[in-house]
Amino acid sequence: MASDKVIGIDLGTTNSCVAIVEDGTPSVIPNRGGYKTTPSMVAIAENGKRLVGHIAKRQAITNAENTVYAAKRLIGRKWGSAAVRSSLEIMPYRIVEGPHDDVRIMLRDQVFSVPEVSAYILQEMKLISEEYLGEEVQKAVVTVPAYFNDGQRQATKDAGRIAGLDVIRIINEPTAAALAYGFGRNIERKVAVYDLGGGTFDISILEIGNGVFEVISTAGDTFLGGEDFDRRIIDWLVFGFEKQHGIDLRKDKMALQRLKDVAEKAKCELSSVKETEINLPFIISTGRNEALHLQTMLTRDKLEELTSDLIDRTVEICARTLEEAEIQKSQIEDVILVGGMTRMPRVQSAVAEFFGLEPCKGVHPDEVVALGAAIQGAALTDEKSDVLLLDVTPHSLGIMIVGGYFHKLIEQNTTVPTSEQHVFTTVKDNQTSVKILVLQGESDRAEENELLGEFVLTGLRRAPRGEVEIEVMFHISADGIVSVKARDLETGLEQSITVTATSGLTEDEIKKMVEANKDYMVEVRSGQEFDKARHAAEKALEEIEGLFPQVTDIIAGSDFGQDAVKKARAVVERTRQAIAAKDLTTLTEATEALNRTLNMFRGVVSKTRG
Amino acid sequence: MSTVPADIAGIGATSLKLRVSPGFDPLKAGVGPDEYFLLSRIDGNLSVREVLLNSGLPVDRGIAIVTRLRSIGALLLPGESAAPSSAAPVPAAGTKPPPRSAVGTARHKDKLAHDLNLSNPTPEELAALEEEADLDDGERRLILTLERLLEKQDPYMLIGVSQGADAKTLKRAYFLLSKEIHPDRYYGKKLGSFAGRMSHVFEEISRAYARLTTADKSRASSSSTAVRTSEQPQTPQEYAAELFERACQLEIGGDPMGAMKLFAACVRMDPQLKYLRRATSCALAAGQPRSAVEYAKKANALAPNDVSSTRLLANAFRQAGKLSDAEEVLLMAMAMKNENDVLTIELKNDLAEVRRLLATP
Repeated sequence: MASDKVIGIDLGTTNSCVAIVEDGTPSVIPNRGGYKTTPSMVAIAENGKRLVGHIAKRQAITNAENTVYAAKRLIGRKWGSAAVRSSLEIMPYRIVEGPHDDVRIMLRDQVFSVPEVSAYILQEMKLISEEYLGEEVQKAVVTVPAYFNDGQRQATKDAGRIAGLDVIRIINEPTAAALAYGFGRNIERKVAVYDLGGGTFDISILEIGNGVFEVISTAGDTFLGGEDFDRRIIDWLVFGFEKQHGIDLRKDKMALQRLKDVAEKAKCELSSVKETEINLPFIISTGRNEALHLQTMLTRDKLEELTSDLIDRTVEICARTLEEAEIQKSQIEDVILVGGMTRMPRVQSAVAEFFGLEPCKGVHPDEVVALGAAIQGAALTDEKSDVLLLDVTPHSLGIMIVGGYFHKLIEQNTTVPTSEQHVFTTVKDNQTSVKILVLQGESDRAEENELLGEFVLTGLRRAPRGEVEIEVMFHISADGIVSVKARDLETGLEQSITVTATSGLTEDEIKKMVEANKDYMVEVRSGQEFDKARHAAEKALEEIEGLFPQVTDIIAGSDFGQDAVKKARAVVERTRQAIAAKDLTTLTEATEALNRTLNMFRGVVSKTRG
Repeated sequence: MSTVPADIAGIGATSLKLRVSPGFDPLKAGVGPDEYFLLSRIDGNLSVREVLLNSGLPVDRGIAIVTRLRSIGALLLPGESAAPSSAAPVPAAGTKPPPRSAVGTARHKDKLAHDLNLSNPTPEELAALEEEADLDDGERRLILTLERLLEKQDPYMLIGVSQGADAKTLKRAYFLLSKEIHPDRYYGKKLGSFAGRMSHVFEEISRAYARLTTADKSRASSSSTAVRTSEQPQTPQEYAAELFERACQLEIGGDPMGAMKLFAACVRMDPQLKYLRRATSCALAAGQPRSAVEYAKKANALAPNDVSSTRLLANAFRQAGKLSDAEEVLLMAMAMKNENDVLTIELKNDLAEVRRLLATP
């Protein structure tokens, strides 16, 4: 019989974990081997059998080419993205281009999509919980890094569907950690969650009180995690070996897999001991039928030296996040550490140093995320639950406007559900249709953001540009589903879309679209401050340049006339630089001075004429 | 012009800081426009005296209004938690639950400050109360009540706290309310028309909360006690003119700081060149160069070819330490030929002084 229980799954880069709330108590479900976490690894064995978890990990060295790990780094990514490019170099398995600019993985002549690979892991987690509960499980809350974009979230949901799970909600990992931290405790405080996992770094600030968990701000880096620490160790080993023997170990897939294993092991050991021996006998053959061995010592100090910039980067992101949320460090009353990497003593001390307080020791960094996911599952489906999560949208949403700019309608870190509308106008005379490109991201330029979807609103009245008004409305539901509607305010005609899947467009393609559709764009009726400021400045510049010769003639002879001309030149130059630098604040200031100068020029010229 | 007395009968010292009674509904109580105007200035941070002075109303009228607002239960003295019961014709006040605590159980409606009476329901509201949905009567009433409150555009009232409530009170009330109306609390239930209503009401409440918390942050960072301009008086020009008179008296009386604040209030109500210039010179006299620059810039933008305003801007820049800007502005002023020789000489002196300052590190 199918149960209406909801499991919580932490689908991690290196390990996954499943939990459930029973009788109001959340607990992690151990797998058959008694382990609470399962490696996020999938392999195809020689006999064509699919292997998942610990079994896959055990055979990874001998079957490196057909063993997938860290698939999370690839999920929802475009083939052309930097993330995929760098994975190509370091992953021992074959990554190939898919039909929609997506990524496929080739294992023993079979091609898998990334959601398929992730689905095998989710299926394993589903099985683990079904064995434990003795009934079929259909619903799950799955966690993702806070900084995952819509495409990555959708791909994760797809993976759930392939695995036969109804993913009723996707929540952010640090949020889940905070839920587990605050669950069942009558606390009222602001907390920071520092989540350094296998592949990603996230920082979130939450306000907890009376069972409500309000996400205030969240940020992170999708490409900074434990694997980067491992890679630093691998690079160090490879470099040392090459210096000694002149052989690049990275060229050998099996050697690379062994290096990866030993690097991860050494990194973990150095969290408790000061130094560790790295010993890889028969790592490679010289080609003269003679094997070479890799043997060296790695100290904790050396590891910290190799990775200090990575840790610094996380601290910088913390500082920026606090600043953007206008929160003082002193307002944070507790710091929760999540992710295996936070076991590293240097990470702990860096966090303690930055926040000025010892991180909370009460939560288990590997299990806390799955527990939180299970708590959210219960909060949604269990009448008795007293938990409410007030989540935010992690990225800004908006549309593309004329000139290829991105006009935001909903700012990042806005509590969901939320809706917002704005009125736009046509950009051409007699423009009868507009194309609405729905984008997600933080860049001013449309092509630097992610395209979520597009639609066309037709049947507009033929009129001079700027006359027809189109209202665009955005809505994000509590479960994060984005819908967009555009309405012709004159006729009431409407068009809308609900964003369900990514379009799979690359930056280049969006750029081409910007060019091809430039006659169908909309313009912001008000707002888009920089553009406006630039327009104003350029107009003033043009006029001032025209007046320059005349004014110079008139005032150059007078007292201080030369000085005034020199000053005016400087003001013009300052404005030009501000435009080039796209700096709104400087431009506003420069334009102010420019307008003063322009007014003086006008005055001088008119008085001489009169 | 009469001055504000130290005491007002029935209220006490004018140095007291009054608050608006939570739940006081000015619409139901039928206050007049000037009463409402004054009520909107009372935020718990300003004393009665400051409110009266800043309102720009004649002092006698102001006192009469405060006395009346107090008598109908609109105002609370420091330390009071409910309006005096003897004179409280405010409909909702009697049904208010006691202040809520932070401890929670599954549903908290009884702890909310909102009055769920839903008087005179519209046919649409009646239909919503009867429609088929997995919601009890109280849950429906709460959503409908909040929908009504949306129209009043008062974020405090919407969230159910008194005006100027502190950050903690605000947060607790917002969390409590969210637990009742966030769509996630009714996940998987049949909600009928309430699905849309709930989402909309929650969105507006979280928007109101965001606005109040950002306002709170900026209020904490600036110590300004100037008049708030959230509601406009009926005839801003008149108020501004009256304030201008008072400001001039203060300026003459040797209080440039007080005068500057009043001139600033004038500018906000009616941005005239005259007010801006006076505000600039008062700011300069009071040693407030940054304000001076702001006012002078505005004045300069209003009358770019006015030499004496331009000179004022240069002075403001000079006092603010922006010598290069001061030099630039002075050069411009001199290029703008004027008939007044004295002014030309003054400008030359100014320029010489600025250049001397520029040369000395």
